[in-house]
This record gives sequence, structure tokens and C-alpha cells, in this order.
Amino acid sequence: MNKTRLFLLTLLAVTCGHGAEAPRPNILWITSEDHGPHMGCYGDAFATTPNVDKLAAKGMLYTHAWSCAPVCAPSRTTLISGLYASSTGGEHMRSLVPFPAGKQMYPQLLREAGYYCSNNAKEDYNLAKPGKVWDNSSKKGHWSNRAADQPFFAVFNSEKSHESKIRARPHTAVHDPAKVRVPPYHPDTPEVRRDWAQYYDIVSEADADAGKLLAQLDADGLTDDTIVFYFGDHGSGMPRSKRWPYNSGLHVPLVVFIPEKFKELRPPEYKAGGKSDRLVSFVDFAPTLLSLAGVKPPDWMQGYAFLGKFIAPAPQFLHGFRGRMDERIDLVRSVTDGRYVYARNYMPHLIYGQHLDFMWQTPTTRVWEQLHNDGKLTPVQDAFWNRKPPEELYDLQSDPDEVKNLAASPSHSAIKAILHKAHQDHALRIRDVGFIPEGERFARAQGGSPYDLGHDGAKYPLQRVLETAEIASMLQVDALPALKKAMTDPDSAVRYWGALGVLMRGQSGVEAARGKLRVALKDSSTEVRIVAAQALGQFGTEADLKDVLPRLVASADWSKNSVFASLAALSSLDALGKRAAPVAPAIQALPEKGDAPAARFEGYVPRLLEVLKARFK
Amino acid sequence: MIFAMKSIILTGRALAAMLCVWHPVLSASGATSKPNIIFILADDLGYGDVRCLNSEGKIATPHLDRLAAGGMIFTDAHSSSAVCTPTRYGLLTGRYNWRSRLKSGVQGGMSPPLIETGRLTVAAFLQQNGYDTACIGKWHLGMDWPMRAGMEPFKDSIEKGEDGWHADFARPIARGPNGVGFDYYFGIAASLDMVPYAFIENDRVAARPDVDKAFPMMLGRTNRMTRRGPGVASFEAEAVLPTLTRKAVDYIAKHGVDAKGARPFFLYLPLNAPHTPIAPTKEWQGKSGLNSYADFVMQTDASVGEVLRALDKSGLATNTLVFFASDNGCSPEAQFDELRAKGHNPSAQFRGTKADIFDGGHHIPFLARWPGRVKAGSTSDQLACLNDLFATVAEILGRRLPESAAEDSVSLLPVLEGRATKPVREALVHHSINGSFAIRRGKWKLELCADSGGWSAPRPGTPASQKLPPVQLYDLATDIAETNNVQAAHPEIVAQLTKLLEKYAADGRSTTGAPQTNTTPVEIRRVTKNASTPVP
Repeated sequence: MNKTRLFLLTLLAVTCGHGAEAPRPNILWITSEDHGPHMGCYGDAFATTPNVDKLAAKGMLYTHAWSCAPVCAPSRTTLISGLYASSTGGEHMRSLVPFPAGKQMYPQLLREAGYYCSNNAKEDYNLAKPGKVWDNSSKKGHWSNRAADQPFFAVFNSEKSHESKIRARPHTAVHDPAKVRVPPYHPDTPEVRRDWAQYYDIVSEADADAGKLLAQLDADGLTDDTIVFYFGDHGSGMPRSKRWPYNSGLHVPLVVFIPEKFKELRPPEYKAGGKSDRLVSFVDFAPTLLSLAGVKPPDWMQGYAFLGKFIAPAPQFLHGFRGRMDERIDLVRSVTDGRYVYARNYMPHLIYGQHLDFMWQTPTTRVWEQLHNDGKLTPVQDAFWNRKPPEELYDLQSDPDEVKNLAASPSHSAIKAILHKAHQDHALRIRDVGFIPEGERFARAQGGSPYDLGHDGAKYPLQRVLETAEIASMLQVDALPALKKAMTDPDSAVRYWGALGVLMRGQSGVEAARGKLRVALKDSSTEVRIVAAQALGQFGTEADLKDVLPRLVASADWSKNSVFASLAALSSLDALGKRAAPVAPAIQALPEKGDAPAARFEGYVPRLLEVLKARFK
Repeated sequence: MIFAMKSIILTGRALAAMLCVWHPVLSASGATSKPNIIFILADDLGYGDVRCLNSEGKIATPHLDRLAAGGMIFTDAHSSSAVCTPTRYGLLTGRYNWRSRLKSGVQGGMSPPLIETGRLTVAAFLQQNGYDTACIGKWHLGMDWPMRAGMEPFKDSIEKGEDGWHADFARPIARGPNGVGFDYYFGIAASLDMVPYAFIENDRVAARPDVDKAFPMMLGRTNRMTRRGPGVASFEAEAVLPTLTRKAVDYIAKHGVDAKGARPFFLYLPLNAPHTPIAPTKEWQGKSGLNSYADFVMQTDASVGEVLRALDKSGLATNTLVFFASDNGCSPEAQFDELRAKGHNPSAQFRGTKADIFDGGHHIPFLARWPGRVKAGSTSDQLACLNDLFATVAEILGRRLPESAAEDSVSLLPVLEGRATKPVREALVHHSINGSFAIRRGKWKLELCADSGGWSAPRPGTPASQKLPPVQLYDLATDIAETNNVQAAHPEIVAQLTKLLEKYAADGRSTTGAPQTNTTPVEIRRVTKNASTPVP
């Protein structure tokens, strides 16, 4: 080693060595609800977002940032824990489950390191807080409340761009509905144009909120000491963006500014006004924050720091997920390599656009459905009202709107296989608990967290469950013997997927497995019983129907069953349509109240009941 | 490995902050920051055939010598197997070949794809990172040939030449190189002594085989011929190397600095030479003064020279990482006796030849050149493997490898950059043609067979081999020629290394990370039909 280098290394040791208390950065997170990269700095000329554009000009933006979940609570649940919500059991919208034992939410780790942590104000976590998380989490949360010389981490969330504001009327349009771009999956109608244009208006409002915060930071003389993040909490609030784990629902703007003073915390690709094509997602944010604060991210966190002292190599894939959305059960997983998006639909017997009260409040949804009923949609627009294929594959390079499904294209079979495998490996790595029915999850965890349940191979034989879910939902006809065998498995989640696979195959499935379904009506697991009853009721004989209807009604009674059993049974009764008419009076009499593990679960049974009661009025 | 990788990067970052020498290549964005990568793989070229690796070699290899002088020589590099197909599997997947379904031998030109559906290859990985990827040359990893009506699909073994006609050459091939991450493919299906004798471009034969043909295994000696079967009338063995070279030169030129919107590229160039049929062109015949094999080695060297010249002309040489290696040791087809009589040993100081568990089977030439990043004229004695390409490339791009990819790949970047202070590999597993295993750690090499596991004496199953101890242990520090089996004197080393190999096999990986499943079960002690062969 030559002398100069030795000198420099000594200098390095002195400057960065232990004991020397280097100044730590403040960190400000500005988050906005329900908006994708529809911003000037992302090349959207229709958008008006001067404040964030200015931040991007002096900072750097990420071209491939995903929110993991396409809806608020699960995406925030992923952020706060550094764990995929599909791993902690917080993936259902909404829910509340115990936090993994012995772990912390990241603000707790930052506070331990001396940071003042404030949150203004939305939390919306699907995980119970493990003790005191924030110094102040309220409308009053602010960096100004910190102690002198204390570094801060402050979150400010703007609700201005939320889905509910897309449809808030009266509204004076700023962006011209006539000039807005309507994606090909939406029908081009005045209502749809008005919603999309109003979406651009409310994104501008969120941008203005960000501008006010940045001005205040400047006025407080903190700009040179503060790392700033701006990001949306998932894709746009328009239907098929929000709630769908495609790029349209997961791609978020992410702009990061790191002042000169902390340039050693910048990633190698950082430059003012620059762009990073590193793949980043919400699960990476907690470790990244810790890394910026000089705290080594704990090994149990599932993401990878993309900034700061503990920066890690970038992952090759990003992962998304969709579970139950309000009152509607579903299970979709997605993965991208930055160019291709692969979605795996584990419940292909359900249509994309299951009726969901909150989403139906947006005019676009209602118009879209009406035009479907009237037979006036193009095939691309109509897809949303049909059943899902087991697999979807989109090439963002040639098809940014994700409307040309390449899953059956022979020339894309290799990339499809790679992404399918990447998804499966990921599910096994994070111990995805989504494959165990929600109610069963609570029963098995016995008060513990779903995460810890999921990591216990004896209580959750994931490999076997996942394999069964795979063969069930790929819809091959020759899988019936395997599904029948699965229906006799000792694990109820395997039996559930076996029965569900039979249901997915309709009449041919039920005819081939009637005996097994009859046995399953007496299964020890409520979810298995309900699926078997639905299969026999929907595709069996009149005698089958007569037998199962009272069973489903009994399971749907929330006063006598768990909220999850009630939801599942009501979903099945809904799927039976008019075939449930013989029990219409009993349905009208079903109670709208019952016990639930948390208040967050209580709104959904009444909504399904409303649909059913209206049907049989 | 993940932790080690982090700390390496941190060390680099910390230094960079101080010394302002942060390498632009580690930037995650911007095409210019990603180096082009060329991997040239010779076929059956011995370590001793490259002059700069063997001072006693009698074959002039000026172009390889120049490549080495501009970069790094690895003196202890190995292919993962002692034969073609498995080595190529390891190179492209970063996973030991014996985890695949192929437990011994090689595939034929018509065999089905060996790389498992969904497995990430280094090519697909680079493709996902914005690279333009091409394979020009000998594939030998199987592809799905469309069959004529009523014909059974091909198997993993080398097919009889005449059976090649069972394929329907009019229809497209599926799951070939294009199916595992190569945007472009031009070349031959397998070794040039296997059918079909035709070039393939992407998923089609460039011209349909229309005649039965075969070539002499060695120029001018018609007593031994390659397999007779489908070929294109105009397809000649000696034209293959020049054609592949020209295609590679054109490909590089197309990606030159002046090319519009050029993306970084990965060119995998597995040459057909100097494997049989040993067919040097007229220009090279007699040039070596040794025999046709040596002439063919010289021509191979010249081909590498042409590729390097094209790279210089393209203006990309400074931002291109060039690797050169051989897929295994030199084959006895080179006529060792003839060459030795003239003072040349293709296996140099190593025992055995291609196919063997001895170092002559898999201890290969391995050179790397990357101006500005790899010190010119440097040498490394680090234990390295062709499987390491994948992890090396991932570290260069700052990308994390998925746990189910590159399970047996270790980044050589610290070695290339001259900052590795200890061995980057914990150990390395070797594999011979008959599926025998060996494991190497430090100076010790344990072979779990009594014999060569390949073609040299003592050949497996011969009476001579059955009198030998069931395992062999060599101290390579004092006995590089593997002449003195010291297994009896060091039972503890035998036990330790056996245990480590068992662990590697059971874990589905030899690097840190979640255990993975082998494609088919792995038995590290070769199951033999010959009951009299002692099994330890």
C-alpha cells in the first residue's frame, strides 16, 4: 500500500470512526393518497405538479417504485413493519391482527436511536401496534415539537388526492375533461373523463400540500439538514388502478432529495435531477430509513435498503398482492422484473369487478358496469366484468396499460416461467399466509400473530398448501384426481384448496367429486364446509341445493358464527344468485351484528347482506 | 454470502467517498455505466495449449497471450464438469450441473432442454437488466425439436445419427437459447460431431438438412468419422469456426459506439473448436508443426484475435469485460502421444484429460480483461469456477440474486479488482463424465472414486481400479500431478470434506441462503451397476 493511500485510509478511520458523533439527517416523508406517477416530473404533460417537479429537479426520482399493495391499509402495513403484509397477515382490506412477536415497527427503532418521530396523521395499519410507536401521531404531529438538537423523522400524509375526492361534487374542473387521457380499459364517456380529470385536479392539490411543507421546512432553516421523500401510497384511486396489483395499481411516484451535507448517504446513481431505475418497493422503506439514520436494519426485515450507510444490492423482482377487498374475498399475487408484470389469480372463478360498495361510489365504476350490462364495451373494456384467467403477463414496454395478456404467447413462455417461479420462491421465502383462509388463520394462531403462525411449518405446511392452490387454480381438467386427494388431507387449508379447485371447475368438477363434497359438508373447518356447500348448491342437483341452502344460511348467521364464516357464507349465497331464492326469508332475517376480533371487520357483513336482501326484496 | 456482499460494497462505498474513485459502473441507471460482457468458451482446449499458461507449450497462441497480458490470468480455475453439456449448464445457471436431471454423460444435438423451466440464467438476468443478449456458437443444452408424425421425442443421451431424421426440420424449434434469455442465437445444436450438421438461427434451421453426412474426426484421417446423419449439403465442418467468428464480429460491430440507441450487450460465444471434428482451414493446416489438433488450436486463437480486433474497432473495448475459458480439459482425440513426442502436453502439469475427475479433466484456461478495472498483467491463484460468472455479473450490476438462482455461484469481482484478501470460495465441487464427485478445499482434493471417473487409467470398472482404495485424497500443494493418494494418512480430512460435500448436496446450494431443492435427487457416491466396484 502506498503512502498516500495509507494516509487517506487513516483519515477515513478518523472521520468515520467510532465515538465521533456525526450529525444525523432529519427525514421528512410527504405522502399522498391514491396517486400514481401522474406528475410532470414523470413526463405526464397533462399533470400540474410544480412543487414535486421542483423537488425532483434538485433530487432524484425512482422510475420503478411499487407499493406492494394496491390499497391503503395493506400498503401502510407493509411500510410500518418492513414486512410484506402478505407475510404478517395484514394483507386484507381492512383487518387487524397481532404484530409478530419480538419485533418492532420502525419508528420504535428510530426512537431508540434518538429520533423524534411524528406522524400526521393517518395510520391505518392492519397490525396491532406493539407498544408506543410514535412520539406524536395526530393532526398535531410535527417536527417542531422535538427537543433541541434532536434529529426528527416526520410523516405528513395528504388526503387531498384520495379516491373519495375523485367523485366529490360539486367541483370546478381545472384540468379539462375533454383533454384527459382515458386508458383503453375504461370506456370513453363524459363521466369517466370527468373522474379522470378531477383525479389530476386533486393530485395538484396534494402537490400544493407538499409545496407548503417544503416551504415551511425552508422557513425553519432545515432544508440543508433534511432528507425528503415524496411518494404516493399506491396507484391512482380510479377503479382497476386502486385495488389491483398490476403496475397501474402499484406504481407510485417516489422522489428523494438528499442534501449535499449527507452526500455519503446517497446511492451511487444519485445526481440532481437524475433518475434511478433500481427496483424499490414499500418493504424496502423501513430498512432504508434505518440505514439513513445509521441504524443497521434488523435481519428479519424483508426488504433491502436502497439508500444510506447500509445500502444493499437491488433485488431482481418486486412483488405485489391483493387479498380481500372490503366485503369481497380474492387472492392475487403479482411480480415484476421492471419490464414484465405477471399476475397469478388464485381465485379465477371470481370476476375482476366484484361488487364493492366503496368502489361503486365512483361514477366511472357505475358507468362502466352499466355499459357492460348494455353490451356496449370493447373486449378490452369488458374484461373487467369477466372471470380472471389463472395467469396474466404484460409487457410494460409495448403495453403500458396492461391490456394485452401474453400469458398464452409461446414466445413469452420463458419469461412467464421465470416470473411464476420468482413469485413462488417469494411466497415460500416470506411464508405468505394468504393461502390460509382468514378465519382459519385466527383459529390456528390462537391469539398469536399470523406471521408467527406462518413461520411454524408444523402449523402451516405452506409448500403443500401452495402446491394445492396452484393445481386448484390453474384450471387444468386433469387435476381433479389430485384435488380429490387434497380433500382428504389432514390440513384444512389443503382441503380448502382441494374443494375450491373442484368448485372452480364447475359442473364437471362437482360431478366428479360429489361424494367428496358431501363428506366435506361435515368437515371440521367452517371454510371447507362453506366451499363444499357452494359447489353443490351452484353446480349440483336440486336435492343438493335443497340440502346446502340451510347450511349456508346457518353459517352466515353472524350472531352464531365468526365474522369470517359469515362473510364466506354470504359470498357463497351471493354466488348462487337466484338459486338461493328458497331461503330468501331466512336471508332477510339474518342479523347485521355480531362479534369480530376488531371494529375494523364490522362493516363488511352488513354490506353483503344489503346486496342479498335487495336481490330478494 | 449476502452479508459478505454487503460488507464488500460498504468498504467500497466508504473508500469511494474518501478517494472519489467510485466506479461509475456501479450506477444502477444509464446504459453507459453497464459494461458489455463477452464470454468466449473454447471447446476441449487444454490448459497446456495456451502458451501464456504453459511455458513448455509448443503451440503459439499470440492472441490469447495478448488478452491475458491486458487482464488477469486465473491459474486455479475449473469448469464445473469435465465434459461439455454439464459445464455449460453451470456456466449459464450458476448452479452445479449435478443438481439438474443429467447425472452423467452429455446430451446429443437433438436432446430436450436441460435448463429447467423458470430457472433464471445469467442471460435472462442480463436481459432483465437492459442488456441485449446473444449466443453465437455451440449450444449443447438441448432444445425441443418438432418431431415427425409418430416419432418418439429424443432423450438426454447422444442420439444415433440416423435418428436425427425423426425431427421435422421444417417447423420451428422451441425452448432453445431464445427460451432461456438470449435475444439472438446463431450456431450449432451441440458438438460438431453430433447431428444435425446445420446452422440454426433463433428458432429455425438456417437451411434444411437434405443429405446424410459425416466428417472425419481429424482432418485427413478417414478411419474414424463423426455420426452419420442429417446435414445440409453445403455445410462443411471447417467453415463453422470462421462462420461463428464472422457472426460475432458482425454482432460487435452492430453494437459499436456509433450505433444508434445501442444497449449494453452480453455475447456468449461458445466456439466449436478445437473439439472434433478437428478441421483447421487450409490457411492453418501444418502451421503448428505438431499435428492437426495443434493447427486447430492456432486457428481458434486467431478467431479470438479477430473478435478482440472487432471490439477495438467498435470503440467499446474499454467498457467491455472479456472472459475466455475452455469448457473442460483437452480430449484424447487430440492424440496426446503424437503431441508429447514433440514435447507438448495439452494437460500441462495436470493428470488426466477431458472426462476425468483428475485436474486434467476440468482445470481450465480462464482469462479476464476489463481495462481500468482489472489490472493488466495480473495473475490470481484463487480457486474459481465457470459457475461464478452469474454472481460476478450480479455484483457488477449491484443486483441481489434471487435465492433460487445461481445457488453455486460466487462473485469473482473482488478478485478481478485485486481487493480479495482471502479465498472467495469456501470449496469447489468437481464432477466427471461418469458422475463421480470430487471436492477441493485449499490444498486438499478428495475424489469419491477409486479411478479416473473418466477416460484415463485407471478406467472405471477395470480390474486395476477395483484393487484401489475407494477414495483418493491428494495434497495439491506438493502433488499437483495427483500421484500420491494420501487418504489412509488423513482420515479426518476425508471425513471433513465428505461431510461438506454431503451438505452442499443436501442443501441444494453451496452459498449462503435458503436451502433449495435439487431437480432430481443427488447421490454423491456414484451408484454403479458393477457390484464388484467398491462403494465407500
